[in-house]
Amino acid sequence: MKIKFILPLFAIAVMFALVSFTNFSEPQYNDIEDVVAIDIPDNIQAIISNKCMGCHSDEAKGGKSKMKLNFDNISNGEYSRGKVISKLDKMVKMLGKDKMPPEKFLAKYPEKKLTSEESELITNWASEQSSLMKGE
Amino acid sequence: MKKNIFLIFVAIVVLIQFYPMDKPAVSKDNPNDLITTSNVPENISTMLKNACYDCHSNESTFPWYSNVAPVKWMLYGHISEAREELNFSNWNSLETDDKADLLDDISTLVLEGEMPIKGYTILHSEANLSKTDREAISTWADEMLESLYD
Repeated sequence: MKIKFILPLFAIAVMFALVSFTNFSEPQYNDIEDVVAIDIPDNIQAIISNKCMGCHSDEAKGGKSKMKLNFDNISNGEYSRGKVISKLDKMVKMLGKDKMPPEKFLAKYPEKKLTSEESELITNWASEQSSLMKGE
Repeated sequence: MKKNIFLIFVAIVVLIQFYPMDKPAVSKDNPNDLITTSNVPENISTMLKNACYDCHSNESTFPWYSNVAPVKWMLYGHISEAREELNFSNWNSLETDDKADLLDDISTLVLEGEMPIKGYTILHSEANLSKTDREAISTWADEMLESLYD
């Protein structure tokens, strides 16, 4: 009877210990000075993974689009603070002018076109995140 | 016959010179100029002057051929467009966000070799930037961008 009671308690205690242990061993990017790793919200991540990161990510083949904007660098702290701000502002600008994804690319892959809802979601997120980082 | 064709060609070249076109204004006195107003290291400012300022500032220099049609039609347009995108002569009058946007562009486009454009570097050897030069400009632009939001 006692063992039946203690065993689950013990198991729970071990689990707690494990969880806190893994938390400690994870790198705390935000604590490192000058490194800004941005948590991209899931709904935004879903859109950009599907429609943008084919060209704008570590995995992308072409060099030029990746150099201009790499979403992986935003979320892993590879970009410095000023860099992230300018990239976010550029996203807002480019989407506002309907310039991304580029027309030529869409001619080949029409399914990659951003819906107006998606474009708005990214724009709102990017401008909020940018203001936040500027301390506005 | 050959002589006639040659004469017609000469006549056309002479005639098109009279087609009016505004030359982009040149001014050496720019109180908001980047190099005048910001602390740009000398090696960087020299490179910017040599490789960028002909199109991206009010200090453009015009070699003789640049004032001859049809070359001037293309060049004048190019320079006006380039100044609209980025004019170092107006630098200090820009908003911080616009400076950030441009510095990010400078860093990327110079590093990947998109700037200066090929047509320009063919005729201006001093604008031919080495890999080290490009990296230096890119790093400078990144650092300046960082300092904007400090």
